[in-house]
Amino acid sequence: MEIFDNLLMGLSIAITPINLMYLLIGASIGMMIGAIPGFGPSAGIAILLPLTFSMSPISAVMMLAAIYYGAMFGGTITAILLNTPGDSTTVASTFDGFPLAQRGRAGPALVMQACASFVGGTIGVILITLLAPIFSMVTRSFGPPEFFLLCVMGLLTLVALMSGNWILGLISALIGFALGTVGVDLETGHQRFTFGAVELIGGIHFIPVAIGLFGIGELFYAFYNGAHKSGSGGIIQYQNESRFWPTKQDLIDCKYTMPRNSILGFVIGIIPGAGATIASLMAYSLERSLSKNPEKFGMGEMRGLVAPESANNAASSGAMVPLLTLGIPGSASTAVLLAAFLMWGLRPGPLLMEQNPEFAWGLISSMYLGNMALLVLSVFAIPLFVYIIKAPYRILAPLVLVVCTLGTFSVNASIVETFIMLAAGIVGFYMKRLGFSPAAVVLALVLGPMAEESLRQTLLISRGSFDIFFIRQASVYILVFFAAIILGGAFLNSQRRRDKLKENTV
Amino acid sequence: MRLFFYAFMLLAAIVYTYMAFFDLSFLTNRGRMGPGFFPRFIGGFLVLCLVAAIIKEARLGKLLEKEPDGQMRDAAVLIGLAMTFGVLLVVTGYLIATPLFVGAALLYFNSKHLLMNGAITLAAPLTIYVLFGQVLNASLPHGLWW
Repeated sequence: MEIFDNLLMGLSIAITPINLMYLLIGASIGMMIGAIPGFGPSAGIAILLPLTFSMSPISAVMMLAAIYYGAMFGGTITAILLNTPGDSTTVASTFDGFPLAQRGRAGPALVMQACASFVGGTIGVILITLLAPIFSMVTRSFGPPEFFLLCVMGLLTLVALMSGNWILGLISALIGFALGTVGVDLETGHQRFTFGAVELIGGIHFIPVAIGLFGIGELFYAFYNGAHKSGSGGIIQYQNESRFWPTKQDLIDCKYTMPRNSILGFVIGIIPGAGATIASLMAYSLERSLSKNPEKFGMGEMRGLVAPESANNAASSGAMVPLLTLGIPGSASTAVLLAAFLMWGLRPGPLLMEQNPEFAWGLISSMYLGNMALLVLSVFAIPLFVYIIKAPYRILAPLVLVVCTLGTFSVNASIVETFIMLAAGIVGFYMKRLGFSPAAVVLALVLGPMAEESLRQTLLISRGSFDIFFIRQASVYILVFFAAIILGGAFLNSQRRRDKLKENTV
Repeated sequence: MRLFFYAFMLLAAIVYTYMAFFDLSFLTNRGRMGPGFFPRFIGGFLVLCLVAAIIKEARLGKLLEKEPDGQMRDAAVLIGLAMTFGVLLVVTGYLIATPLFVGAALLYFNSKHLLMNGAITLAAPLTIYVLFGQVLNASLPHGLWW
């Protein structure tokens, strides 16, 4: 009961006209920023932090949290409409989101994405309210071995992306891994593949490669296919769009997808460093292996969009758990939020909820309100986004290219990254033409360095022994979960094959 | 084009693998994984996979097959304009490069609507400048002379 009393107290603090106004402004700005390629939630919060200097701490943090959620919402809009993920967390949403838009279902895809984000965010906040202290105790025991296993689980998603032509999929993933090795080796300080360029010492970042391969590559490919010659739209078939709202079948298909992937996303999101990217990939992989028709994934399957969306939004709530209870940021965005907390003299950690209950519960309550506000805002904003994309492609394409280029430049003010993006665009165009998988490149680029670093840390701890994975309790649990998913997937696959064989015989 | 792309990828993979083997150590002095540990595996596999893919494509007769023409010319023009835009950003900065790029692209792809092109060429860079430079306070390329 104490929890509900605290929550009511938090709501009484959050629901004031001025706080609600800041919440709405934050959610709207966050959504707009998230929709700009290159501007993820962390960049959005960092850029808008100065706007909150004159506010009270609770109003300011409520606004920043709303920006965070809004950017998570907004990032998917371009992933669906332009095949351009603004952040690594929305890469998995392009797999089925963009094909849905191409099939004339952009409206239903955006509405379902908003619903999935709402459900994911809300379930995440409910779980924070009820279980934050317990979860923080469990994840405190996670170290490099567990983190490595989680990366490997994320990498398993690559297998799903290779189902079309495995050798081209494997080459794509290896290219991603190779790009991930560029930069200074953190253990020895040795430079790898930098060719003496100062700009490459920090490595090749995800944003220019993802925007290039997906966004710019798609743009070139659309021109190659003559999309710019049609009167309106181009890559997305609006003329086939019979309705804006999702069908009853969409909702029925996704009734379990949203809650189960929200819970999965929340659990993964709690683990510091794992974050929403791995959560969204695992959700996609899980949903595909549970589906009766896995071959439909990647071709515009609604569950393939809803699963990663529920997971990445729940993970963004999950990332708040280590931040609030341990003072450890679980992602880049929560690291910026931590900086904001410290700026107002609030020190997140085990004592935050005792020493500043108004602040902690006010923030948690504002997350409920923020999710509701975002759902309403999304439904109003979606027609506007769809309207913008309806402009003739030959006019839209140069403007998208300018926004992508400047978005990439502004992240680190680096012209080298801008050229990496343009080069990745050309490579992405040819990859798409020849049947390679740009998604595998991007995922391998994100997960490869994480896996390498955590494996090396693990072996440093264990003095070179792999037994560590079987000694630590948390690792064993992950391995068991791992085995259950693989064996369960294999069992479901064989059953599906048997059923199909039976159907064919009949 | 397929042959050219595969040849380019193979060359890049060979250079990567060569550097992984000759510039980076496999193990450190203390016997731990060195900076070249993973790159050697990645490079080696990449070369093998590319060779396998090339052989497979050659056997299917796809390697030298002429690609359907599509709108390659238009795509090539856009690629050329995009690269020129990148260079112009470095040299002249955002304020000059963006209207030049938008104007040139619209003039080529949307040549029938000159008035509209002119309006977009002026309005779009200005709007983007306000959004990025003023509202978001994000850095924009200045160019060499400003």
